Amino acid sequence: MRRHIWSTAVLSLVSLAAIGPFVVMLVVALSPGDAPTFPLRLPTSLTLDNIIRVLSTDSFLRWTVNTVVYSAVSVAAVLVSASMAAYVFARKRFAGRDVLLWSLLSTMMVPFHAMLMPSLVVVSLLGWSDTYWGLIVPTLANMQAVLLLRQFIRALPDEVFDAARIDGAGDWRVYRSIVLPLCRPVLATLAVFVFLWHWNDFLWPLVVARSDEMRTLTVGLSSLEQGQSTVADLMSAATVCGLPCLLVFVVLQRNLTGTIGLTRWGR
Amino acid sequence: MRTPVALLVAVLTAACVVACGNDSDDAVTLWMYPVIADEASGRAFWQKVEAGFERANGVDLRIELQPWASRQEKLGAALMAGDGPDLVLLQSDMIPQYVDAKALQPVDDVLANSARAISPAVVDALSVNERAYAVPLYRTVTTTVYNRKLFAEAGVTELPQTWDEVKAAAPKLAAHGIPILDYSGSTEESLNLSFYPLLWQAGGSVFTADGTKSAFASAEGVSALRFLVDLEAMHGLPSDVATRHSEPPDDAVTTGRAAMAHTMTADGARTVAAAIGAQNTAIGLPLRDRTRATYGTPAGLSLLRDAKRPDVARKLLAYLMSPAVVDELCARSHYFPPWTASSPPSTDEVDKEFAQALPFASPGDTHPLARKVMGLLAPHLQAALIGTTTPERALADAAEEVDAMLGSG
Amino acid sequence: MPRLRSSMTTLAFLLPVLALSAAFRFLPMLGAVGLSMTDYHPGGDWRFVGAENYQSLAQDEIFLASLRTTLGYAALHVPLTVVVALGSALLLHAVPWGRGLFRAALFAPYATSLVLSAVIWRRVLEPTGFLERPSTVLAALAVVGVWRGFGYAMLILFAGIRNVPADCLEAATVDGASAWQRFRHVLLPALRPALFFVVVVETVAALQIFDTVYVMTGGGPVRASYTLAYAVYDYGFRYFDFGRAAAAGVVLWAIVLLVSLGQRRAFDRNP
Repeated sequence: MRRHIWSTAVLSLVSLAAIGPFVVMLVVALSPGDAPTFPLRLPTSLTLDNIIRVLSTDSFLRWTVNTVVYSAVSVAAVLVSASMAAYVFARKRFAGRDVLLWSLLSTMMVPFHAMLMPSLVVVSLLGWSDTYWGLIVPTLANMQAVLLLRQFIRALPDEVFDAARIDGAGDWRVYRSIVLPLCRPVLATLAVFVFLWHWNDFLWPLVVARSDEMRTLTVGLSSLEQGQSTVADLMSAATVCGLPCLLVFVVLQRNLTGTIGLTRWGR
Repeated sequence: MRTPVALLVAVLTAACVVACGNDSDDAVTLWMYPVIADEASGRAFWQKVEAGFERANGVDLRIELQPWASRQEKLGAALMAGDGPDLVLLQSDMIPQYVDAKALQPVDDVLANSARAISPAVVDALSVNERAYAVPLYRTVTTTVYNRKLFAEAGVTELPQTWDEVKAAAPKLAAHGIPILDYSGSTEESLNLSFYPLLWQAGGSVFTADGTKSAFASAEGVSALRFLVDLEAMHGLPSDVATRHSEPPDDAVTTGRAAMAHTMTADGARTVAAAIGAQNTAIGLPLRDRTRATYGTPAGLSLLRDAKRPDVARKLLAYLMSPAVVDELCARSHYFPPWTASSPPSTDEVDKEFAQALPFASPGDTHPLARKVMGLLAPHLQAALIGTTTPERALADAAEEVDAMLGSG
Repeated sequence: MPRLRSSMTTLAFLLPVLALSAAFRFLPMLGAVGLSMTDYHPGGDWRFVGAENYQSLAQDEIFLASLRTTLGYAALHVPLTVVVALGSALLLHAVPWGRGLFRAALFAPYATSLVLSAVIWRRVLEPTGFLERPSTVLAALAVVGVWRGFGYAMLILFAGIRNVPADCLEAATVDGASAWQRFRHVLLPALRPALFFVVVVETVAALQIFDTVYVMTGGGPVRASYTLAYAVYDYGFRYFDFGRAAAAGVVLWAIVLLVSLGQRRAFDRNP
């Protein structure tokens, strides 16, 4: 019992430090625009005006749709492609397997600013500039996801696969009915973070989008910032961007807690 | 398993259909930034400009509003991919770099046909090696902004206007726990907005007249750096000055954590007035030591070398720099027009005060390596501010590095 | 026949990732390597200069210092992340109530604007002066970097902990093992795959740190936090030395690869 209290206390402190700035962001976003609050004083009243103003920006709906498409399509594509590749890297043996894996992983190791311009050249050569294709497809090669899933699939006991093998299941069946269900917690975690990375992505959508119609939320809201934006303006834009991520996380939370009980192994 | 895949395919197809079909390669494109504060007013203005030009010339014009953030990355990447605009808005301190990178075309011919005389200082600022590379749209100027209330609370009756007065008032404010001057020592802040105005006020300059060597390690330079170091010793600068990057609305004057700033923009002054109250805000002339000086940059439209239709682009430039367009842009954005003849005084209080600072404005150096010099000098200034070296040593070390770079460059 | 079928399936499973990586990772990487051997100007007009950029970097004191700074930062960031993430994951596993709430709170840094986080952290760190002193700025940045990023590692490790068979731990308790012994001899080995992933990914991220440096210190004071990734940005987008920036990027890539392969040797024993 005492151990539980101690754990809860420490965890609460850490959580407070983690969520503090988010709460500040929320409070500032809800403060009346003309009376500055952070960091001088607490707001005397809260208002949704700033947020409403952000939401009623002309192209807001368009930007949001773009961002939703960007993030959702990426999540689906990354989960599918990465899990397939991870299955192979975890369970199949072939010559040069590890060399291939680490060659692919090495592509994560180039700093983004060095790859930015060549990537845009490739997109431009394909004629995908200022389109969904150019925005989404180059970001789908996510080797981190492959590595993560490979680690978890490797950790699954052989008995599970042997049992399926005896049942006469081919790779596709094994992948679909064993690997995917057992990896649900990891896939859910991945889904949240891939969504997050794409939703909050700024530099790549900035560089790929030419027209206002192709902008994502982060880029679009940034194009509204000028010399006289107040703190409340900036924070309400940031809140509008940040809240969906938190919501997606809360919604997908249930899947994160799934355990793989021993009883479920070895059918 | 099948359903997510099918869903994915469906979404991608839909997305493609939605996304396809916009490009008209005949369009002339112009990249503009949010210089007009009010979003609705800005959009209305640029739509009017677009419609006006299209009607008069029968050409499709696209004015694309870009965010200020990461604009170097966006422009650089677009130029490399061959995807850049025909025209882009550039500040005078960015032009030398682009000229050095051979990215711009000279536009002297367009300037020569201007309907109204343009201030020679503005043309100079937008030129490199005697050739103009941008068509001026507006000028900005920075000047000193004070928090009257903080000064009054500390018992300082006269707002300081010279270095000596600032140094005299600093201890009184420090006694109340308020640094007198907001200063950004971070390398992210352009030295044009922090150190250089002080250097100019001391009578010094960054480069020698022929631009082959540095000139900031002079007695004037040392005097300017010593001014800062002395202030810091008196707790007259923010305690995190070496890595601080003050940007409205989080700068020290707006948040009430410093009493004055020496290079604030008009937008910044308005933000301050909104934050601490217009009656507590005072806008003064630039500070003076040996002379009065401040930073003020013109901005204009540049024609890129890879512009697909340079002839139409030049017509567009002529149209955009016409008094009708420029005057309305300046009215809406509260910036100053680039004409020689002074405009009728604005009714806006802030504009009036800033207009008085215009005669003292300098656009900085149009040396192509100016930004590199800033990158080499700024860390040495930081070293002096955190006390690891003396002002003389810091500037001498920096001069050594800069001269080596200028010599080899 | 089955062998061929199996190979075809392997290829089919790998194809999406291979195709995407080839086109959008390897190709631009080759482009960056090519760029590093030129003196590219945005306006065109460039020439091939061979290894000149690399030679110039090798003699550049500032660049060499940034190598040391980057390695120093990673040496602080990675252990701190592992400790905080593992600790949080264990705590999360131990508390019997409010897990969802805690998890949401620990995830919050990802939903918070980077600029605001920087402002708040600067305010918090101001009285300590850690951001002002070259000797402590990397440690301060590591704290902020860990604050921003530990949620990801924590969730991965949490999932790993949940996968540890409960009866293993029970058996250990029955055998009289203390909490520390259970941790060391049952939990840690079972977490090895997940820990390996966390260490590799956090190392890669730490060696490429840019965002935090950009908003908090701009590489200062006096270049004490001038990391390699920041140098790539500086050379490229501030000074327009894109060839040099690409060369610095290639050097960073090589370092990250070497370190990761070293970690693989140490951690990732093949089945």
